[in-house]
Amino acid sequence: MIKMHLTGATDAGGWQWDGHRWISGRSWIEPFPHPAIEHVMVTTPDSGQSCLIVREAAGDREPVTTVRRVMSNPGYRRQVEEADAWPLHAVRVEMAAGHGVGIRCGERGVAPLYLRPTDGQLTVSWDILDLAAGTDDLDAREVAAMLAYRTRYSTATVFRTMRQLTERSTAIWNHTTGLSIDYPAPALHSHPRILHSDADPVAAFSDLLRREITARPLSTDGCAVELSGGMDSAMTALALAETVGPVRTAALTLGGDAGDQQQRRRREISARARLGPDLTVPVAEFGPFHPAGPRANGRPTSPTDGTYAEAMNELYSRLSAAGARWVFTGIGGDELCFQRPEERALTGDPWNLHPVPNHLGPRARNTLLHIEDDLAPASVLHASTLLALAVHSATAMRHGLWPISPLATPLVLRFGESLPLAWRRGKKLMRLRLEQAGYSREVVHPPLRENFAATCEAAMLQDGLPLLCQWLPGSILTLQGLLDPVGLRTECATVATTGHGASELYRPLALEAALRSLAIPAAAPTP
Amino acid sequence: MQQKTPFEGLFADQEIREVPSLDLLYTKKQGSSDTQTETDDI
Repeated sequence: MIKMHLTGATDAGGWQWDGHRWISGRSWIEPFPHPAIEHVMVTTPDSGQSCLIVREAAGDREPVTTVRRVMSNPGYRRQVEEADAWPLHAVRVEMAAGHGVGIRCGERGVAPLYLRPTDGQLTVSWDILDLAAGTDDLDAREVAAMLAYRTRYSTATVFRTMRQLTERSTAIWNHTTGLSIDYPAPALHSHPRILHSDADPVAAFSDLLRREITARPLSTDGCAVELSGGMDSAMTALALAETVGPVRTAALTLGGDAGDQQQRRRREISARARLGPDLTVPVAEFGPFHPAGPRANGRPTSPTDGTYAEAMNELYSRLSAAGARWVFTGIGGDELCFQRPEERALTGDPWNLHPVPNHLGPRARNTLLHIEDDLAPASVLHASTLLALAVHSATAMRHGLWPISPLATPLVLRFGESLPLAWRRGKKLMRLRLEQAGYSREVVHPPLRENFAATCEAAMLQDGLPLLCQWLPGSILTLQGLLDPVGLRTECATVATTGHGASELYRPLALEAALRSLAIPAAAPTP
Repeated sequence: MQQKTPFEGLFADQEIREVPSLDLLYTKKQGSSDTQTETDDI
């Protein structure tokens, strides 16, 4: 939720607010400009320290009325401690003359910060596109993880000189000694528990979601909810309707029979919950790499952008133009109803593990042996939730939207973890919530699967494959040994001949497109 | 001391909180494809 550029020695006392940024000499810090976000610079002359606290405004706390507070040392410490225990998303930047700058973020991971130290300077942003890293700077293991569908959550990014501030971590930067990041202690998680015979988990779940939503000041007109028709976003939408009112709804829509079913389900949820005006974007019209889109045209794209970045950008652009400022999502719903590894062994439900693609280059393949090394300690939210939030938040924030995902919150996850398996398996908790609210069987148990598989396959076959074939001869990833040119060329030829398997080419193409858009290609691989 | 949650009354046993194996936190999307945004629906 901040962008920042620091240069030279740390200045603790000279920061001035210009209405847009905190400025000290050539250094500046810019809080995300949004009514959801408040900030205050707390200073103590006693020890010559300053701390900029940037946080999501909370409904049950006094709002910030002045951007600067001068306090005694104990008062200053209390403010810093309050920032670390803030109930919503928060980041603090602590500065002391002659010492380093400390940047700490909270446990929610809503808008992760990326950091790039260079030559006595530090650039920080929630948007990777602000940090110009070179393609000669790739981290082979992170690239391999992305290409091989293996999730890693750590301070590493696909660029070796760019770090990510993981949840609850503290970055320390000094213009002479550089950047270091301290991980927090591993987070505690709950075991499944035994419910009382008369317990009502559905009511408790609904109550938790309502509490989470109303923890911040919101307006009906300013809010929108992504209502795909699926379980997760429906939970968020129902809780929003009960608390904030008839908020706007939005979705990427499917075609064919699944699209008809999606339309009926969305219509029923919207009508019964009394939600507001609807805004949709047909995903097939803005598929991955469609010729008029930013990725096909070489405009800067982030390696972390989602598969449906073109369609999501269109949706958010329209939402923003319609006056939305907050966008609610169903992110975190899968993890809320997750199965523990030992439970999955008992139920026999599949793991959905993607095989390692044959087109991985030798340099990438070599790192797979260490793909589970150097991860961040146990996080409060699941690693997959944090990564999904990172993808989603940056896309929303580029359109001036503040993202809120009530299912991706510490207390809601703790609730999910505590439930017996029967309530989590197959999202029984969520389906029962809909059933008790009187929704039809088609909403509660849709007969057709609704996903973007056909969209991705068709878009990659039509637009992605020709682009990949065009880029392959001078591919950054193949030149660096991260993709195998022979294997990839063979795979492209097979897809072109059979018309199947085009989706498997998405990740190499997406990463290649991002790298090409961001920097000048490397001359030689890094050992 | 462990803080009580608003849903404590639902349960008949004591809550056990501990540091999990990282496997627990990587259960969902480890290796999932690009074609689904969620496990079973969109």
